[in-house]
Amino acid sequence: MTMSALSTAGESPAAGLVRFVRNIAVNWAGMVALALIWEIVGQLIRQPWLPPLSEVLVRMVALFTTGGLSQHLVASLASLALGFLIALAIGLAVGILMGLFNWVYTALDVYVNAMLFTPGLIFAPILFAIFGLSDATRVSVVVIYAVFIIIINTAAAVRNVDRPLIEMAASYGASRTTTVFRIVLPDAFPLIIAGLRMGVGRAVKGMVNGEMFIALIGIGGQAARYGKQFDFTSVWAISVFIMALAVVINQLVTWLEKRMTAWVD
Amino acid sequence: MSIISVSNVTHQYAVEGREKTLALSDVNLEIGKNEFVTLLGPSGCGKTTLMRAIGGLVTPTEGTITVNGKPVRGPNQDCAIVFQSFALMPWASVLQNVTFGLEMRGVGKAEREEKARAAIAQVGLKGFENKLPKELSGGMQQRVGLARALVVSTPILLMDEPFGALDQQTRRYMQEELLRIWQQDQRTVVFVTHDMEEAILLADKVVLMSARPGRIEEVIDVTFERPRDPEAVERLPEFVELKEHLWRRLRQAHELNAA
Repeated sequence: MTMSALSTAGESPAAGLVRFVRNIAVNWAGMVALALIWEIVGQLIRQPWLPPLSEVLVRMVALFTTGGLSQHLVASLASLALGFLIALAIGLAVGILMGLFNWVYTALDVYVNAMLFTPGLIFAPILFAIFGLSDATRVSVVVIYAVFIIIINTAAAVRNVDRPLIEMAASYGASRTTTVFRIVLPDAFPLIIAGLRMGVGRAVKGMVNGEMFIALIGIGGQAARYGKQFDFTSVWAISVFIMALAVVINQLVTWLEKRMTAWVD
Repeated sequence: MSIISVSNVTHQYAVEGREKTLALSDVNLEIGKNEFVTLLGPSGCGKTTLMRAIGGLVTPTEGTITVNGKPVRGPNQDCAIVFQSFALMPWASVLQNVTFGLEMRGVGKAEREEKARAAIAQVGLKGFENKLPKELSGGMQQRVGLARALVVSTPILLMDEPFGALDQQTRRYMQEELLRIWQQDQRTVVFVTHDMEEAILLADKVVLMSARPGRIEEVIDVTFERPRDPEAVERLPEFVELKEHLWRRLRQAHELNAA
């Protein structure tokens, strides 16, 4: 699972290629080893809670082809995307305000941090009471999971902006608004993006948790249902799928991050 | 007729929970048009504070500063600053960095890019217009900082230990470049440094300051012929004499403080 560039500065293309291949090899070697251990242990102990990987993979295919998991997945991902976008909008707005204005920071900092440590599921009954058994419940759980880490990172990024750059802008007559848009936000951008990556991870968690414990819909709802039936193979199949999904999303965001912050020293 | 006039300026820094620091104490200074003035002194002597006050980045607690006859109230269009840390926007190209000041002054895109390209060529960076700051060496980065300050064509250039972060060799090269550029394109320069040789080499007038509280100890006229060749100037007996004099004065001030 590597997305690193073919060569870094000062490296010959050949050396870069060797490093690239080696990274892939190491990455895949780790995965293959883990898969082998799983398969062997699963075959040897023959316990219902640890089916061999091969059975899990076969079940995963079955769930998607005949088990109707695809529809659940589409619904889950739609809620994930919507929830994350809402968290992004709120998180950036509140985070930027907290970063720019000391009084907003002082007013909100304690609560934002408190919410970061509070498990979002605590609010499940309340959300359920408000939105009922609907997509809105799932979406709001995703928002609660993702929004606070985005706020905290954005606020920290804006507050840590490079002082000399602010002075430079002031000395050339930039207004406060101009300084925010031309200096503060671009300078804070790499840290903000790093916060978004963490936010995406938490959003996936929120989606699955919300589905499992509140709404019993989507991919998480399916996992909960199989769990109640002690169908461990299906639970494993869904877990492995979610992990793979997380890896793909993480790689995607990391790649975006690298592309958009190539100017960072 | 002086272009910069500093009268009875005192400045106290108030840091919360700590004793106030007297950065400048009753400073008076007149700087003439197109004069090259260096502010020399040990760290903590208030030389940078004085420069920042002239540039309007600091408002002194007492006294007045006038630039071009107008009292300074915040950053103004008569001064452009070159910063010690370069203060380049790392996400912006050389060209975009150099046009920043013009853009803030409302100059149109075509005009500001044309002027910026000329300034970039002037500081010897032709061909680097589209590079990012991280692709340049420290000396080249400060050339960008210098071009950004030159291009807004202010009558006054304020330079805050601009070569302090550079290695010895690069610093010498930058001093030569600055002398060359200033010779072609004269303006008033206030140059902050703690390097005695640099102070003498560049200046028409060395303003020697001492620490705690920041005061002007002495103002020395430097009359070496221009254009100056640093190598030649440094071999002159007058240069050595002047350097020794400055060194003595700095040490006196230091011992006085230590006592």
